Amino acid sequence: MTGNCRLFRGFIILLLLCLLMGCWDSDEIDNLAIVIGSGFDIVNDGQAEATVQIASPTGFPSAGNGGTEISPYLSLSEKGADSSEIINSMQQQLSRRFFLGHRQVIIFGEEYARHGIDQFIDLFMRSPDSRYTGYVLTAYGISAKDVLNASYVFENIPAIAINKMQEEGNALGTLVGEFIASLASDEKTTVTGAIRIVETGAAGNVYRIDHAAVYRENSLAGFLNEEQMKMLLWLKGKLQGSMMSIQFEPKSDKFRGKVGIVFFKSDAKIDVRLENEIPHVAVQMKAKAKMMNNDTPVNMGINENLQQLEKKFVEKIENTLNNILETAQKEWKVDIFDFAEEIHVQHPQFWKNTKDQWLELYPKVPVSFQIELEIQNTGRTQAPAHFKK
Amino acid sequence: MKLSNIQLFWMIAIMELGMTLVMTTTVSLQAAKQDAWISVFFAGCIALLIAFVATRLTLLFPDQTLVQFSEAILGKWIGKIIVLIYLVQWYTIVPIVLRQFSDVIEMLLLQRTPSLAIILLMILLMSYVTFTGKIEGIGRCSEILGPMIFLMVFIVLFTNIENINVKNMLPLYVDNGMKNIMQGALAPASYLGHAVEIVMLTPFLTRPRQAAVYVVWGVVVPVVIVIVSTLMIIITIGTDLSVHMWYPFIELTREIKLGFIENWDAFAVVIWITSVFVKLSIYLFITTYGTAQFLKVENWRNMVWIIAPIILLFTFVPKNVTESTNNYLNNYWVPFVLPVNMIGIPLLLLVIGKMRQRKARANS
Repeated sequence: MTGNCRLFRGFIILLLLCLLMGCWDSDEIDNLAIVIGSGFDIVNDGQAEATVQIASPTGFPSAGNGGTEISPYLSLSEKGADSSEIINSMQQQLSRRFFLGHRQVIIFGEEYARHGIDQFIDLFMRSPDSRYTGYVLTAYGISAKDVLNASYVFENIPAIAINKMQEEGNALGTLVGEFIASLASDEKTTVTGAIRIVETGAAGNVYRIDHAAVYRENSLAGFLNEEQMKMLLWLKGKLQGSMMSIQFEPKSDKFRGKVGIVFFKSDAKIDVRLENEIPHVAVQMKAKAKMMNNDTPVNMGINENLQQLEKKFVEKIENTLNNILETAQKEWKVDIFDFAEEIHVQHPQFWKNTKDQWLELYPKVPVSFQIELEIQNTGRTQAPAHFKK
Repeated sequence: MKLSNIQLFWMIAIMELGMTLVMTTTVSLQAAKQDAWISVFFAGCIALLIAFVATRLTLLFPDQTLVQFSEAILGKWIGKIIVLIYLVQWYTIVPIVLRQFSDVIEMLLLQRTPSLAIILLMILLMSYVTFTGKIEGIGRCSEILGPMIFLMVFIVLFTNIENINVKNMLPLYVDNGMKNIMQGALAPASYLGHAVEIVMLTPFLTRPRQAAVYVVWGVVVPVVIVIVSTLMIIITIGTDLSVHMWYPFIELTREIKLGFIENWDAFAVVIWITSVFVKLSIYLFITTYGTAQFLKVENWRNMVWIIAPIILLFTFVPKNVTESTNNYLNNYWVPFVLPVNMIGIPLLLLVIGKMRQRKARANS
């Protein structure tokens, strides 16, 4: 009896040894082709082209191997009709398993974005590897391939540079999760940061994320410029750290007349009032800022001057906001400030009835902006310190 | 073979928490959208009713299991039919839970591992704990794993605070209305109603008469956590996306971005595996013990070696994830088990049992 029992125990132990190893899914890091960034473009014959940047750890320059000539990343481009076709043909060129778990940026080429971006998005959610935490960007004026193939000085892998720039928060950043959620929603407009390449001459190229891309349904409607993008950040409550400057005084021999501020707190509230079945939108925007530079002879230590400055900033901001609204309502027909979401929350019954006609109604919605800007301090000096009286 | 009441609390809490969190949220989200958490609240009320009826029922015969007292209450033949209805439930829930368990592991974690390997491991583990530890072993496991599972759930919820967007849960009620909310309550109610299995466990309790309070807490605590988690899914992922996901709670862990620490899937996996293990072990014990009593087999423990292979075979009956997750839930568990096995039969037994007792007392 005991012998039998021992045999049985031995059998169980052997079985567990086999099962617990988990050999089927063993993934050593040197067997993975870790995709750091990917980009999508459209090519002439209507097919899509995907570009991926795969980290190559042996290529990282380290103290030991000094100046290796191996590139720290591998760039692959492949044309195809859908994700599986493209991944399949990429895998055929790779000695390691294609792995999306650490993808940090996804870039849509401008032309591709204008054609509609549905093709590849399903994979972002469906693939077990794919994550929510990368950033989605749109290339401004160029193709995604060009963006990913540019080199960047600070980082070994360009995609990591883009990710870090987005983390830094000075420009609009949209995470994959937010991106897909806004595409799925009736009430939220999809916006992403827009990246371009600026030539700096000797040092090579640098990236610059100073625009925002606005989508209508699933295709690119247009871009917002830097000032306009900041308004979008303000409405999302993410203005902290952004800078802005205005022409406070006319340019003279000694002074250029510019004053600059940096925002450190922002807040926005949208109120919707129904009048004769038409929603009237009132946007309240508040921000606190401090002065960065003063290229005028004006002493900002005097309250009247400061108030004058605030007033000028508010005027400029109002102008920018009205510009965006004009374009969004008349030209793009895109509910860029997500008024729909507020109407849904504040007047659910009304929204139920008008949901389907919202895009026809939207261009006619009257909108008013109320801006409160407080410049709370002027930095260490009052009038410019180097100024001779 | 003795269970303390606190062990009973943990057993019921784990049995209800893990599975409800992972398997039923999509169904309620699809029905009630941003009001799904209200659905879970109503589901909790139904579950409390189930727990209440079940505990009252056990008090009639505190030293007998359902298999014994259903015959005592309804006579030999009807009693046997009632037990058969429960046997069908037990013999199907174990393979289905096993299958769902391996589906999740395969879909999110081990994509290339054959599901047999995953299922075999779990079956060995639960057979072992049932065979050697009996109900006492399962109770002790729950006592240790329970607090761990709770902690993991709290960490997942807490680390997501940064992703909250309260507007996602507004407007309340108006969009969906009572009908949809109640419809969304059915699936979680049917999973939170597992407390009904107390009818098989009372004979092992050291103090069965005091058990009711622990059972009720064993229902209330998971219900509160599931409400908070559902709310969290709504205000972080949003209803636009979560209604399309198989397992929104697990997706919740993927949303976490705490500074540079990302990819918290491991937490969800711990919650999932441990709670499935406890649930399956309890059900395996109940199935084995119930079958043995039903067939009048003396040594119930040896039945494990017959029942485990049968379960293993049944596990491969569903063809794909839709059959194992949706079909079973929507075609059997919600329309049949919830009204009949969880509410109807216990209530019937309770009423008739009470009447018989009263009659017997009047006669004597």
